[in-house]
Amino acid sequence: MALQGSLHEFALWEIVQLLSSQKKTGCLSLRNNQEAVSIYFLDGRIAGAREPGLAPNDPLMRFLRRVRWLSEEQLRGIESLNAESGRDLVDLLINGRYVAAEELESLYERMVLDLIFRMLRWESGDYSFSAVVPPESALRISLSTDSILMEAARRVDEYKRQLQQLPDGHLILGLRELPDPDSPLSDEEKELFGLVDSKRTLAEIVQEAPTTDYEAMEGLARLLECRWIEIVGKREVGGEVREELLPVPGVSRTKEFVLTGMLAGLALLLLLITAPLRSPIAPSGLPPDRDLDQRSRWNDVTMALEVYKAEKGAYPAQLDDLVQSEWLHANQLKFDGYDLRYIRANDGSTYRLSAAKK
Amino acid sequence: MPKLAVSPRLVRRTRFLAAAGALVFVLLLGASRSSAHTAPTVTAPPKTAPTLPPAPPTNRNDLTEWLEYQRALGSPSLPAVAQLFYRRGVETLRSGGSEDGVRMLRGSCQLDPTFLAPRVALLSFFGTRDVSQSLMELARIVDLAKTYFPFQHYLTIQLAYHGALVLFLATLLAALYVAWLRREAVRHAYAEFLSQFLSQRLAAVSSWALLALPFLVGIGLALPTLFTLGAAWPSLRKSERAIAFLLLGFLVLLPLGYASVSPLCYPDHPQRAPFYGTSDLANAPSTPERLAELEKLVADHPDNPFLHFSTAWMAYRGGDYDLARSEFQATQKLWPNEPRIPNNLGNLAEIGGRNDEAERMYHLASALDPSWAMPHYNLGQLYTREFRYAQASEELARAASFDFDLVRNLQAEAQLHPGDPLPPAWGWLGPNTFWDAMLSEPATPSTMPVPASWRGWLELRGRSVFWVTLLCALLGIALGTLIRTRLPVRQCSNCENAVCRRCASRRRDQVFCAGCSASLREASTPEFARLLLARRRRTVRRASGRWRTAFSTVLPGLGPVFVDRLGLAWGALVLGMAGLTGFVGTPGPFPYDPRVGPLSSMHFNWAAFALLCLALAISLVTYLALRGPDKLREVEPESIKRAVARVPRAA
Repeated sequence: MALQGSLHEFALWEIVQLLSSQKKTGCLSLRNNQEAVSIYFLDGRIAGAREPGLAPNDPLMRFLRRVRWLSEEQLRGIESLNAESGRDLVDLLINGRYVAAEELESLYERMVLDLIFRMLRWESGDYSFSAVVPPESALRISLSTDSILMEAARRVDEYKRQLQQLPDGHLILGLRELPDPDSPLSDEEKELFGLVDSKRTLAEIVQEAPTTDYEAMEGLARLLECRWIEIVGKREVGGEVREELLPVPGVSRTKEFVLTGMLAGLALLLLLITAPLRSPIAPSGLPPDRDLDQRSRWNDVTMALEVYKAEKGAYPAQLDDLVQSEWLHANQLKFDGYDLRYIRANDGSTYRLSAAKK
Repeated sequence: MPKLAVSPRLVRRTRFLAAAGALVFVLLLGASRSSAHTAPTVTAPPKTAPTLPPAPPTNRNDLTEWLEYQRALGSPSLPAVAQLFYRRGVETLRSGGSEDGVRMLRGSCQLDPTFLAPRVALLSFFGTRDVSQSLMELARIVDLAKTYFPFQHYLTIQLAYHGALVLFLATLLAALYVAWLRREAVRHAYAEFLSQFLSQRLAAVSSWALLALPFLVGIGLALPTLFTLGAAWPSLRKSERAIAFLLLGFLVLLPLGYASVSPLCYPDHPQRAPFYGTSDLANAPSTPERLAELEKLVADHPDNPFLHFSTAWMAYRGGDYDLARSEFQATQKLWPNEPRIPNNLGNLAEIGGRNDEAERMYHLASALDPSWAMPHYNLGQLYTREFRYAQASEELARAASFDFDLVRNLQAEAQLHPGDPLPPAWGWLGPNTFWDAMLSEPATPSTMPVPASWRGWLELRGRSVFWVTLLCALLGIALGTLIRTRLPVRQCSNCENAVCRRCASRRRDQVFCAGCSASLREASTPEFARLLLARRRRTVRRASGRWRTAFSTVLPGLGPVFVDRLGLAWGALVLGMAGLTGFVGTPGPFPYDPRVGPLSSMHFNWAAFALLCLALAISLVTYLALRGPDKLREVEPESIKRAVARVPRAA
């Protein structure tokens, strides 16, 4: 046994850093009361995190089930194949075309990240390092310990912040508003929307989300920050799952009558309030020849009189003659608040036009 | 024989100089002939008492006699007679007498050179018959617009008024279309709210009533539209919000802007500064009554140069040269840099036989405006009478080079009566003088803040509605925010029907209406789900497609709105509203020609109607070209895959 001890004495990140700086090759085994994890190193880089074959607690199998990458049916099929042939899980996944090698590499990295993140949160445990050669696998893994540790440390910090936002797993989350169709959303976040239904608790959503626990929490925290979801309540420990929303209670005739009356009253109120706006603007009260608006019409009348005289040699006997001779329309002789008074000299050579108040 | 290469510019210049030379020669000849009849020495000043006016023609139907009468009066405009012959010309043209009709219309133009209607009638008559004549009429109208202040004023105000009205109407209609398209965002929220208290059916009916209520209380269309757009604000796209802002801007700024410039928007009024009804006196006949009115106004407003100038002008036209001289001198004290005053004073001095004074005045006028032809022309006339032909030739050539048309017109006028002395050129105030005075006149508070034709538009009444407009916009946005907070309304991811979280079926980040959700439930595979959703989308679209096509055919600008081209829709609406207002002849703040005879009737403008049709065609073609088989947003296949996976299967 080259290296062993308690995690109280050496933290995980110190051990991994040591192995990385010494470019060690071997297997780091970690164990606490609930879980045992093996991480293989090759020249100081992470080369794997699982035993060959398909152990009952195979971390990759568990991860694929957790993120629902494969259906239960597919996973059962893989298990039976392994039982019959004893082939490695990675071999079965790639050669059985369940997942492409590139995709599996990405999934493996997510799995290792999740493992390290979880182990960093262990409060106690033992470790041991033995110098063994990592087992051969259909998928060659070589992850930088530095980047993995940095990302895991970031996740630990973020997780603390997320716990401040969502401190209790019994909180019930509800939808506040769906994002605009153009909002940038990851596929995992879109998945989370389907689970936020004002019935499930935070713990249930995280459990049911097709992501790792941290990814689910990170997604929910972002949705909460964007105000797309909200905390709608809290389920008491041991409480019942809330069923469908209560149906809208039936409405009574009286209520309907009252509300309809209120709507009609609103219409009447609006009519009354807006009445001053609808009232016509009062005319200036000035006689037409001085009123700015009516002066052009007054000029029309005087011009028509002059044209009539030019045509006939004398002014008309009465203003209606202008209408009959089609020089003016009848409405051109009407002025706001005033009547026209027209007096012509007997010989038709002069006239006097004035406006008298009605 | 080889041709010489001569530049067109040189040819034009040579022709111009030849024409100017010929004209100068004719003028000198005419002047020498006239000077042979009149003594070159100082003569007794003409009598200041006005002579008896000539009698009007006995045959009132004879255009020639009227034109003779006008010349006998000293060529003032005779607007009433011009109206008479305009009507006769129009009636003659309608009855098929083209030659007589055109003659009468042209006579009408001569009788009143500022009368626009006969020129427009000639322009439209020749438009399809003789394009060159039509272009000449157009040139005369343009010339009138360049030189005559009341016409410039009318055109400016008309353009501003109609431009503002067209833009406002286009924006209002675009906003109405948007409000109609987004109505469900508001109505659905109303219905959901009311369904807490009313039965579903009554809630639906009442939600429609609430939506329509603002439009029915009689406060016009713009304010309710603004309110509805505010309420639908969270659902609006950027371009739709821009239209809402534009509408608010028009409602707020149009009356305020108008109120600030309202003194500019009325024609010259006899009781209003700064012109006191003098802006159109250039060709007006002089009457003792008018002169007396002007003298009274001068006494009341001794510091108003327009009144002094107009009094002098009327006095000169009436033959009262002493009064004219004293008033021109009074104007000169107020406007020392106005070249027309020394020019006119020079004319008066020449008439009075004070040639030295006249020469000095003409020189002063040409010094004040060296590129103005009139003092050079008058100086040329003066020199000719004094037998100083070399100087006269030089001055006349200079005048012709500055303003060939002026010299030619004066010469043409002189040729009507061979033997008479060539008339001196009198200068009326240029449009710039009027504009400067009008713009520098302090704004007087107007009792009528908007033109009469706008008062039917409640929204544009001005300050009284200003606060109501802002209140409507704020109330609408407050309601929209409340809806957004309490019950956000979204569009179905598949068919774009309005749904809220109470009535929507949600699949991950997608929301579906009840119909689409039912389609989704029927599917057992994602591919089948896509097929069903597409089928439902087509069904919904086909149902709305019929009325969309129908309305796009009759309403300009609506088609582009349906295919999300709001900018194009607004452009088409501007075009359409310009056509519509032109077609029905929306009255402006004031008319230019008096509305007498044919002008008192409403005439449809079919050219403007063509513009309206063009706008309709643009919007319809845009709609038909862009609507496509199915332009609605497709739900992502991956989303459907996940959605189907989570849908509980029917047994």
